[in-house]
Formats: sequence, C-alpha cells, structure tokens
Amino acid sequence: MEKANPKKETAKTADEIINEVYDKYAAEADAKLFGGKKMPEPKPETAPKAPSGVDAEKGKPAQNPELKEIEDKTSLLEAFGKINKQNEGLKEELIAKNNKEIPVILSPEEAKKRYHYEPEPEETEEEKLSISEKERDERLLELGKELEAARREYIIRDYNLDKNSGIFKKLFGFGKRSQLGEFNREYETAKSRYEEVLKKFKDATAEGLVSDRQEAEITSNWLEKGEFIELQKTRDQIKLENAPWSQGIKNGCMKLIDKYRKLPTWKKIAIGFGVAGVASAGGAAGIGAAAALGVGWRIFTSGVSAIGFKGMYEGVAEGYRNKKAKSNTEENLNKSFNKKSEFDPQEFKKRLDDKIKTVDREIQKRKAWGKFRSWLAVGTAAAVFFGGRYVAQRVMEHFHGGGTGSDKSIDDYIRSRVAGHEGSGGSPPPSGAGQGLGYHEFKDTFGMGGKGGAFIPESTEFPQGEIPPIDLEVPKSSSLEGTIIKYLENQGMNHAEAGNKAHLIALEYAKNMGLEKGPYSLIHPGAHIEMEMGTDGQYHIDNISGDEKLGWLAEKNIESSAHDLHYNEAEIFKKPELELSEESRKIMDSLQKSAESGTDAAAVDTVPIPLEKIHATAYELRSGITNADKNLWDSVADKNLWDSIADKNLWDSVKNMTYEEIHNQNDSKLAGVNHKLDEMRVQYAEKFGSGAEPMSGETLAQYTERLARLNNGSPLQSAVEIINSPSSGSSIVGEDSFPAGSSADADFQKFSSDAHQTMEKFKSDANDKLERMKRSF
Amino acid sequence: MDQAQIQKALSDELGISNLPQDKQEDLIIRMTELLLKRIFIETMDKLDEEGRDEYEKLTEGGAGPRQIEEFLKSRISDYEEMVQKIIVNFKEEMKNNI
Repeated sequence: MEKANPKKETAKTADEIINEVYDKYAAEADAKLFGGKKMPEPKPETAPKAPSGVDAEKGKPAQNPELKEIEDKTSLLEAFGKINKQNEGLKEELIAKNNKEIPVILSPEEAKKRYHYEPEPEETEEEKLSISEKERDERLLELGKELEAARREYIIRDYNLDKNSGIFKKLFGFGKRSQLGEFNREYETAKSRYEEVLKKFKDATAEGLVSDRQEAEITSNWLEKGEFIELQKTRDQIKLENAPWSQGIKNGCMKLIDKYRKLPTWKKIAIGFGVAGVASAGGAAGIGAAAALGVGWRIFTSGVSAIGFKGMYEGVAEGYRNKKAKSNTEENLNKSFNKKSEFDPQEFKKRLDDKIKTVDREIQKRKAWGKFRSWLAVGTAAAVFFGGRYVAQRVMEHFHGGGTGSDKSIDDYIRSRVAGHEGSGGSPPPSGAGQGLGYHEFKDTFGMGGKGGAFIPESTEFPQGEIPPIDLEVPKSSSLEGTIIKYLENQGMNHAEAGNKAHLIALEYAKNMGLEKGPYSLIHPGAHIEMEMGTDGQYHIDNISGDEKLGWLAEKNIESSAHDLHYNEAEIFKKPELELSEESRKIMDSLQKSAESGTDAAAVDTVPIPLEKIHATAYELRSGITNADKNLWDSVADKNLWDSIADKNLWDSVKNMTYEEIHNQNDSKLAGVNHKLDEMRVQYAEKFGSGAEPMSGETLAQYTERLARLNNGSPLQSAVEIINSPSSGSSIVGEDSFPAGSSADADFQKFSSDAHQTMEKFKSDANDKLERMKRSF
Repeated sequence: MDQAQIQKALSDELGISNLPQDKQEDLIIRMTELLLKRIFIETMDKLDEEGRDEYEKLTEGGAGPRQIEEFLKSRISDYEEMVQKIIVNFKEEMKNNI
C-alpha cells in the first residue's frame, strides 16, 4: 500500500489524508473480507479481477474456505461500499482537522489502484450512459433552465402588456396590444426569445431520445402538454407575485407548494387524484368537491402529515406500484416492437414545431376566453341588475341625503320596488331589474345584506347561448375579408350582407390599429384572425396572428371596385392636426384639467367645449354622414353625451361600457358622466316610460343611440335634426372663455369659423341624404 | 368508485391515458401543483383585505385545517362550490388545451 509522503510535515495533502484513511480502515476491511487476516499483497501484474485468495505469507493458494467467498464480487463491492460509508465519518473529522475538502469515497479507479482489483461494471454497458448521452442530458438541463427564464420573461411581458392595455383603455380610450408601442415590442421580443429557446429545447429532446414513431408521438405529446402546464404555472406565479397581498400570504402559498413538491411521488399523485380525481368521479357538483377541497386545503394549512386520508393514500400507492410495474413491461414491449418501424426525425421535428406554435396560440385563446367570459359576466349580470342599482342609488340618496336613513326604511323601500316580492305594492322595476332577482339577492347584490358582496358576480361559466371568440384560419387563395365573408356566410348570412359586414369589420380593425393604408390586403394562408362578438351584436377583430409578412398589396394589385364600394376611410380617420398658440393651449389645458379632476358634476357642465371638440365633432359628423348609418349613429350617440363630456377620449373609453359598469367605476373623471347619464335616463324615462330604460347588456353607445331613435322616430331624422338644431356648433362653445383680442381668441375664431363652414356643408349633405332616402322608400 | 377507477377516469378525462405511466404521472403532478396554487390564489382573491389578514393570523397561529376551512366558509359565500368550479374549470382548461 502507498504510504503518506514523509517529506510533508504539516498541511497534509488530500492524497496523504486518503492514505491515512485507508491505512486506518484497511485492517477493518481485511477483517471483514479475509477472516481477520491481512489482505494479501498482490503481485504487481496480477489479479485484474477479485483477489485470488493467495496466502500472503506462504505465497500459495489459500486453503481457507472463507477466502473462497471473496470470489463473490458482489460481496466485495458491498464491502467497499461499507468502507466508503465509514469513511464519510472520518472525512468530516479530517476536514474539520485540516480545514479542507477532500475526496474520501473511492472511485473505481482508486479502488483498482489501491487493491489491484478490477471490479466488474455495476451496470451493463447498455445501461450506462454514453458520453454523448451525458452531454445531451447536460445540454437539456442547461436548456431547461434557459427555457424557464425565457418563459418567465415572456409571461411577465405578456402580463404587463395586459395590464397596460387596461390602463390605456381606461385613460385614453385605446389599448389594443399592438397600439402600446414599447410595451408591445418588449412583449414580441420576449415571445420570440421564448419560442426560440423552446424550439432548441425541443430539438435537443428529440435528438437521440426518440427512436421510433410511437415514441416520437409520445414525446411530442408530453412536451406539448407539459409546456402548456408550465406556461400556466408561470402565469399564476406572476399573478401571485403581483397580487396586492402581504408578503406573508405570498410566502405562505410558496411554502405550501414546496411542501407538495417534497412529497414522495406516489403521494403527490394521490393528492392529484384527491383534488381533481374525486371531483371528476363525483360529477359537476356534490360531495366529491368537498372531499377534494379538503385535501387541497389541508395541504395549504397544516401539511400533508396532518391529512387524515391515510387509507386513500395507501390504496393509491398500491395501485400506483402495480400499474407502474405493468406499464414498464408494456413500454419495453412497445419499444421492442417499434424498433422495426421506420422513423422520420425530420417529420417529428416538424410536428413538434407545429405543436409549439399551438401552445402559444392556445394560451392566448384561453386568455381571450377568460376575458370574454368576464366581459359577458359584466355585460349580462350587470345589465340584469343595473335597473335595480339605479333604484338603489335613488333610495340611498333619498334616505341618506336627508340624514334619516335607516336599514329598515331602505328595506321597506326596496320591498316595495322589487318585483315578485310578497307584499310589493310599488310600481314594477325598470327594465331588467326584476329578472330573476329576488329581494335577498337584490340586497346582497347592492351590499345591503351585510355581506359586502361584489356587485358583479364573477362567473367563470360561459353563458349558454353566447358566442365564444372565433379563431379563423386564412385558407389558401383567400384574403382577410374573404375569410371573414366565408365565416359569415356559414353563419347563414347572404353574400352581399356578409361582404358589407366583413368590410366594416376590417375597416374598424384598421382604424383601431391606426393603419393608415386601411385594412391589410396582403395576408397569407395559415394566418389567424381572432374575432369576438361584442354586446353590440357585431363582430370585431381582436387580433391577427401567425403571418410575419402581413401587409398590403402593391396599389396596382388592388381592385378598384373594392374602394368604390366604400368611402376612403383613411381620409376620414386621419384628423387634421390642430395648431394652437401657446396661450390657447394653456387655456385648453386648464379647462381640460378642471373638467377631468372635478368630482362635482355641476362643474363639468360649466366647462366650455374645447376647440378640439368642435374639430372632432366636424370630422365625426363628416365620417358619420359619409359612411352610412352605422357611423352616423356613432356620431349621434356621441352627441348626446358630448354636452357633458369635454373630452372625446373619455367618451371613447366609456361608450362600450354598460350603464351599470360606469356607475361602478371608482374614477373621478367619470363623475360627470354618471351625473349626466342619470339625468338623461330620468328625463327620457319620464317622457317615454320604461321603454327608455337601459336594457340588459346594452352598451352606452347602443343605449344613447336607442334614445336618439326613440326621441326622433328615425335614426337619420334624428341625426339631421340634431345637426340642424340651433345648439349645434356655436352654441355649444364657451365663447366667453377666450379673452377678446388674444391669440386664443383668434384661434377660436378661426377654428370656429372652419367648424361652422364644415358643419354647414355636412348639414346640407345630411339633408340631401335624408331626402334621397325618403324618396327611396 | 375505487381509486384505480378514479385514476383511470381522470387520465381518460384529461386525455393523457395514451401516454406511458411515468409521463402521465409527471403531468398529473405538475397539473396538481398548478391547481393547488390556483385554488389558493382564487381563494385569496375572494377574501377582502381584512379576511386575508385574518387568514394570515390564523395560519401563523398554527390553526388547524378544519379551523381554516371553517373560516373560509364563513368568509366566502358558497366557498365549496367556488372551489368545485375552479376544479371543474381547471379540468376543462386542461382538457381543451393539452
């Protein structure tokens, strides 16, 4: 045996320490292996295998029968294993003494060197990982980490984009993802990066891992499903991190998830079946849910050790073991069988690529569904209730305003107003208020039942009869509008109507996206058009994806007839720049600020209409008159509220909200809108009765349009009357706000004059159109 | 329905029964983790700030599972139904997307 290096007095080397270890334990090993005798010194060139049982003293073959046992190499290896274990203790001791890390456990090479023993491999060559396989595994590990980071970055950007989109919509009336500039670019970059790393990960997984078609299918299926879950997990994690909760709550959640992760596999599976499986077995509702819930929450609250489901676990564990054994056998059989089949790695990669693309699209679609469901929940539930909300507000004002309110008096009042309630003697509730809404629900809904419940129930079920988001794939030789037309025709619409609708849908999309060239005329097969049906009953494009070369055809390729059918939208939507002097701008800003910050609705009424509004009005009217009734009605509807809203963007931000939704907005900027809405509602209700009440799911734009129709009999008539009315134009402008002779006044005069001229022309156009329409009927 | 049947029903329902056992198990474990976290997040979402403070105090004070469950049931109307809905929706989501 090698001895410690005598030249070194202090600071022993690792090698010296190892020698000491072996000197110390060699005797013990000898005792175990050779019946208390010392291990024989082997001849230098001999014994590639187990020690041959040579008698160390006589140099003859050993006769001791115990020595024969050492031919059992397994025993020898086990003995080495024991020695190594014992060495662990000494290792710590020596490390403490020498203050350095040393390798104590023998590698096979060290064992061979010291004992001149050639142990047989523990595993067969086939079972051992080859170097290339190891490299692949290391690469996969590395890529897995990279993928995790890229996935997280992608989800964070996606989350931020969603968040900013909501903020922008609220503040500025626009908020399409593609309109959010830098935020969108960051998202796109993160998304590309994620897809790139995912592809690398997929390729690395495919290389060498799959050897046949069936295995390829399994692997791709598993990768796709796994990645979907990982995306969702990351999304929930980001949601948790951004939740406005204490760090204690957040940490608590993570600790509990950690507890789950540290459980043995079979127990984790058992919990999975406990939570999801029991609910599955029990149907949509029932006791199964409670059981599942119990398992889930017990994990969250006290750890798995406290769960009283031992019996269930044991049953699952047994089943798990049996199934696993069976499955392994089947898998091996499959592998043998499949070795004969042909496998095309390129096809496999392609299929994986397709699946990767699908993952993200499904994620986005899923989100769209989620949004759509929430939106429908708002649109339907809120609309059903909001007539009641109006009553409730009046009740609250009535009693609390006089300082004599009491729960009892409110109760009595509500009892008298809620339809169907025993003893109700009051007039029927406004449209929608009493639809399936009982007294208690009414109270709870408005937070009068002591529960403080949210007004809008957060339904996660897709309302029956509603239309989910639509994902249209552009087929070969089709176009943006052509794809939509085909879809609409399949829904039963005739070709002409479908063509018109599709064009309007495309135009609206172009407008929302700020596409100055109009709707895309160049789109490729495989692109996806994602549409939703709004509460206005019209389809709207939410997104177009999957076409990197989306754009416009060269001008010469566009059929002129398509343009002849409709007014050139680009011209309409491009509002000329409004140039103002510094002085004008200051006045405008000041007025705007006071209008926006004022919580007193009356203050909003006194704010003069800014010049931008005249400017915008003129163009909106022009747009409306020139672009047929739909746009015309947008203008008319807007006009009902323009008198109370000094900011066109504000109207844009609220026009697609329901009446009740606006009431529920805790936004000072909406105070004036709320006030005007209530006034308008009361005024129209007095004049036209309950038919003038907002209806279930009706947006503000639809509601105001309906009121305009109600008031004037015919949409166009209404528009023309409004345009021709003395209040149009000059009378809506706060002329006194601009000091005479100032540059602001000059600006005002100029734009006022322009606006009047423009409006005069439009009045004339509108009257002409009305006359033509009358003649055509 | 015994555990084996539940296991099979769940795998069938999630459309993963065609995968080898180890891959099924891998997915079920990952899904369960996701589901548990989702139940937690949505439950906390339903609690108001005061409720969350109380929940935190309860868990910090070593409250037992039953106590926590009772608390949640008292603070969230139709709590069990809510969780049931989360589970059902979650499974739908998994079924439709994986």
